[in-house]
Order: sequence, then C-alpha cells, then structure tokens
Amino acid sequence: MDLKRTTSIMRKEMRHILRDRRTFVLVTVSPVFLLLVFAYSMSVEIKNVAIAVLDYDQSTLSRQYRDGLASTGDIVIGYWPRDYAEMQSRLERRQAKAAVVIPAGFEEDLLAGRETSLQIIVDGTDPNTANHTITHISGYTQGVALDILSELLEREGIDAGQLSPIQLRLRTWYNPTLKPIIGWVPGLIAIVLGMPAVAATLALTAEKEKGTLEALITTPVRRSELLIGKLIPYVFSGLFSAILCALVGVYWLGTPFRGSPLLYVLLSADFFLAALSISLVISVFVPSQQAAMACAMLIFLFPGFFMSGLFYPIASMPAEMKMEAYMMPTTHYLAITRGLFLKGLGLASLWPFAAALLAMGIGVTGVSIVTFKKRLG
Amino acid sequence: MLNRIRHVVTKELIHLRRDILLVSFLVLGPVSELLFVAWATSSPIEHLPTAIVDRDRTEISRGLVLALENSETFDANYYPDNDDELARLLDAGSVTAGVVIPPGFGEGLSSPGSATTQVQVILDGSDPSAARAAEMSARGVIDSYAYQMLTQSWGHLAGRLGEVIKSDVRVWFNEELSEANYTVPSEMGFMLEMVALMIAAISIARERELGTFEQLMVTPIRSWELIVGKAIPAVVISYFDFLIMLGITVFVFGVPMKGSLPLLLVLALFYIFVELGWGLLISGFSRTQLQALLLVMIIAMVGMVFSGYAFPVDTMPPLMQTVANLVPIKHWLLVMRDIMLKGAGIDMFWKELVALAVLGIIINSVTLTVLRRQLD
Repeated sequence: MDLKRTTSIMRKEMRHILRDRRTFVLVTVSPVFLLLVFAYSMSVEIKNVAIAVLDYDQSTLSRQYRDGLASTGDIVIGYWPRDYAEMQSRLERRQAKAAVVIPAGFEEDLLAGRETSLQIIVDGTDPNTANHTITHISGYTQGVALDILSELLEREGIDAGQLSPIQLRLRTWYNPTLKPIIGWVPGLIAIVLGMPAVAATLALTAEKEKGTLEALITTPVRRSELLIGKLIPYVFSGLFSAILCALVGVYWLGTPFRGSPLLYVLLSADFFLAALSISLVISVFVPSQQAAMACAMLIFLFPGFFMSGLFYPIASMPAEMKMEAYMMPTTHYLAITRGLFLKGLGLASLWPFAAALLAMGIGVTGVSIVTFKKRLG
Repeated sequence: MLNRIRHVVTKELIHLRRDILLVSFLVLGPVSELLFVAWATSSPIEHLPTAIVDRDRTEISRGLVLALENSETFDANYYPDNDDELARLLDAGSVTAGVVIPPGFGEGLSSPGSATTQVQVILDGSDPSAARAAEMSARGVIDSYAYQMLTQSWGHLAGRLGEVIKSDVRVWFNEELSEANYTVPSEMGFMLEMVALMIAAISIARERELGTFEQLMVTPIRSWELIVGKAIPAVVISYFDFLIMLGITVFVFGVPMKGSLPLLLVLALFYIFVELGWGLLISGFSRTQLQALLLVMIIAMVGMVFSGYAFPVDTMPPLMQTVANLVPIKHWLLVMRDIMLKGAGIDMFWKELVALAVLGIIINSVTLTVLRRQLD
C-alpha cells in the first residue's frame, strides 16, 4: 500500500465533501439538530397524566381521597364525569388515561370498618403509561388504606406501630439529580451519529452511479488504497459531528462529561471505522443510491433506534435478538458514550466494546477490499 | 392527459424493474425489519440483571429477593460481597440494579411496632428506560412484601388487615397490557412512513442529479401530470408493504383487529398520500439524491420522536405538542390504534382525520406550487 496514492484519494474525497456545502452542512449539523429535538422531547417525564374521577359518594372522605390523589403532580384530575357513560366516553376519546370510580357508601363503610372497593379503569393502549398510572393510583390508595386502618386500630386501643415497615431508599447512580435529559443525551449521541455513516454510504455509492468510479479504476491506484482513502475522510467528518454533539450535549443540554475527552475522540473514531466499513461494503455491493439508502436504513436507522439498548434494554431481548443487537456498531458505541459521559469510565472498563468495534471495522473493511477486487477484476 | 400520466407510470416502472435489488429492498426490507424489531421489543422490560447484597441472610431477606425475582423484572445473577464490587458491576454495565438489604432486616420486620427497616435499591441512571421500569417494579414488590409480612407477623390482627380499600383495577382496550399491541403497530407505522417518503423523495431528485430532468421538461407533459405519474408507483409499493406488514402485525404478533378492516385499508391509502406529499416536497428542494435521502432520514426520525412511541405526547410541554401535531404519523398511529385496539369508528377519531386531511392539503399544495415553479 502506497501512502501517497492513498492520501491523494483522501484529498479527492475531502474535496467532494467540502465542495457541496449544502450536503456538508446537512451531514455534519443534522446529528446535532436531531440530538436537540430528541433530547427535548424525551426529557419529558410521565407527569400530569389526566384522569377522570367519578365520585358517587361525594363525602368528606372521598373528597380527601381525590384531593390527595392529584397532590404529587404525577396525575391531574382533568374530568369530573357525571355518570359512567360520560366517563367511558372520556376514556374512549383518549381525553382521560384512567378513571377512578368511588362507590356510594365509601365513607360510611370505611368509618364502620367495613371493606370498600374502588374501581380503577386504565386505558391500556400505551402499556408504559398505563403501568405507571396503575402503580401510582394503587400505591396511593394503599397508603390511604393504611392510614385509615391505623386510625381504626388506635380507636380500639391497639397500638398499630409502623404500618409500612419497609422503607425503600432509591438511589439513581450516574444521574442523581434525576434530570431525565442527562440520562438520555449520551445514548442519543450514539444514535444520531449513525447519520454520517448513512451519508457516507450514499456518497460512496454515488460515484458508482455517476460512472466516475471507472475512471478511478483505470488509474494505478490499488483497490485497498482506493477504499481506505475513501473511508478516512468520512471518519474525520464523522469525528467533527461527534465533537459538535458532545459540545452541545455538555454546554447546551447540561450533561456531565466525566471521562477523558481524548478517549471519546479515539473511541468515536473506532466507532466510525466500524460503521463506515459497513457503509463501504454496502457501496461495493449495491448499484444505486436508492438501494444503498434502503440498505443503510435497515442497518443503521431502525436497529440503531430500536435495538441498540436506548429505549429497550438488551438484557430484556430474546437471545437471538441479543446477538443481532451486538452485531451492530451502535450498540457498542452506546455503551461507550454512556460510560464516558455519565460513569467516567476509562479504557480499563470500556475495552470490550472498543475491541468489538475495532474487530468489526478491520474485518468488514477486509471483506470489502477482497470482494471489490473480485467484482472489478 | 390520462395517456401522458400512463407514460410516466410506465417509465417509472421500467426504472424499478431495472433495479430489482431496490424493489426487493423496498418490499422485503420493511417487512423483515418489522419482524426483527417487533420480535426484539414486544415483551415488557424485564429480566434486568441485578446484584443482591444480602447482609441479613435470614429467611425474610431471602423471601424479599425471591419476591423481586418472581416479578420477572429482576434476575438476581450477582451476589457481590461488598459495596466496591457492586459499584464495579454497575460501572461495567453488568447489572442494571443493585439491592442492598441491611443487617437486622428480618428481625425488624418480624417484631411488630419496631422501627422501619430500609432496603436500598441502586439503579443505573445511564439507562433511563431500564431504570424507570426497575423503579416501578421495585416499589410494587417491596410494598406488597411489606404488606404480606405485616399480615403474617400480626396474626391476631390478620382479620382486620384484609385490604380496607380494595383496588379493583381494570384495563381497557389492551386488557393484558401487552407491550406488542402498542409497539408493533407503531413500528409498522414508521416502516410505512419511511418507505413512502423514500420512494417519493428520490423520484425527482434522481432525475435532476442524472440530468434527465431537463429532458422531461421539454416534453409536453404538465407538471401535475408528472407528479401524479410519479406518485402512482410509489403508492402501489407503499400500499403493498402496508398490507404485508398488517398481516404480520395481526397474524404473527397477535395484535387484535377489533375495528373495521375496510376502514383501516381505506385510511391507510389516505395516509400514504399525505406522506407522499412530504416526500415529493423534499424532492423539490434537493439538488441531489444524497440531500433528499438525508432529509428523509431527518424527517423520519423527528416523526418517531413525536409519534408517542417512546414518550407520551400528552405530557410534553405545549410547544412540543404543537410540533407533534404537525407530524402526520402522530395522527396516523392514533387512528390505527383506535381501530385495531379499541374497535373505534370515525366518530372517535374524526379529529385526527381532519388534522391529517389539513396537513395533507397544505403539504400537497405547497409541493405542487414548488414543483410547478421548477418545471414550467
């Protein structure tokens, strides 16, 4: 491999990237734009879930109950339906996510020490919100029940002592302020940095579609020099986006960066090497930009978004899908960004992910060099 | 006029036939992707690796660990001896949660009236979705275990400790709270959006990049005829994808189809038209295919965020909600869920349909104006 020939290919490719301003901006700035959009919309907590309360009892105790229900801010009582049919229509029209029906005789039963029963109806279409709402309402109800119980017991002269004997001390490491945005940003950076890889896939295929690749093949440049020379400039443009994203993440969105910035740059280059080697292999096999896009979408966009562990922990996936998840560069890079930003880890803990990316990069580039030769030779 | 449109359609079909690889990607890609993604994400978040530090080692503490494991959310795979080891496990990402049971836990619980015992649960905050699921589950498990212990240790009060207020929880529309019923239709919506946008966005940008656009301009064809002619093959492919994916959603992942199938089929066509408008608009603005496709990616990803897939739109700040309402897929997913899960008719989701129609009219008329200016 000749270094001079490789660098001239690199220079040529660099010029391509820089000359088309609109595309350059689109490629380097779009990850930052996506990062901001994602971060702001995802930092939303499940809060202010609107529910309906149908109070058949209208007593002091039932009023106390429903006032307490909304006091934490997780839940807002948005509707006071007059009858069951109205409540039903509020749920069907998605206005209320849940409804609580307080039966007639609620207060009377409770004061007499008789058991009473509340009906909680939840819209299950979004299981996540539904579970959250159920946990909140039943937890609150249990607390109210224990309070009433201890009052009743005390009235009978029985010392109830502690009625809730286990206290849960919850600690969230790496993000103790519990600002949700901080937890999401590092993972999101890993996802949005798939964009430069997609752009590279298309740009590499474009040369084929336009017919300028043949001109290159007739030059004395060797295949490996050509491919590596094409790859490196995209690694640099990707690194530029990676640094931009990190700066926006830290200075604009307020995410801590606890690891080493140098390691971030190095491991990002490692990631781009792996991701772009996949771009390269696609561009070797696929004839048109459209097909390359379809392919890149299948490899980077959807699996990156859904299967890299950002929304859905890999531990919860079926074994086969775990394997597929680990075959994608984004999955490893996500572990790296989380480790660097939030956990402040060094190479001692991150090496397995870095090694996986490196192996992918070298292996896949090797495959594309070998197959590229065959197809043109 | 119809003749001219037909010619454009024929031309487009020839393009597609030449690029068989593209057609197979467009048809099989979304379908296989739906299978993979839906398979990976259709169960609730559970089996999170967990480290247990049990400093009590009594029957009662072991009971709590068992209760945590029985919830399916936690898999107790590590039993570190000290806090340092626990920290190492969390750092390495080997565990998502750590549970620390203090010494004297069992004793405290079995003697009524004694001080509260604390259980510490440590969560990996760098994985917010797992941490959230773990928190909710841990709260539930610990509360009910406490209650169970209470009833056992206070035998003489056991009668009184039956639930004073019984919570009768009913779930509507998705009775088993199945994760698949929510995620699979959403994921199918994304794939459909992506395909429709992509085919449309590329169509004109490609002609422009390869220089064949000028040839089209010198033909007697009118701008809107060209647009319609280009839209038809895109509609056909997208709709074909939709039908296959709907089949997978219902038959493979068992998502119920409670409402009217013909209604869903008609409305899907309507939705595809709206997305095509977006795609053609992108096409009008892009000079190269690369630009068109990057814009498609950006729009599709923004669409995902505001679709309510990962985060409920209702709880977003007002500005975000306004943006979300401008995203067609948000309305479409609501319509699809209403029909499939609730068996609802138009009277339940007419608002979403109106929103889609308004968006469709605005997007498509802007598209027509932009492209007409370029063509004529």
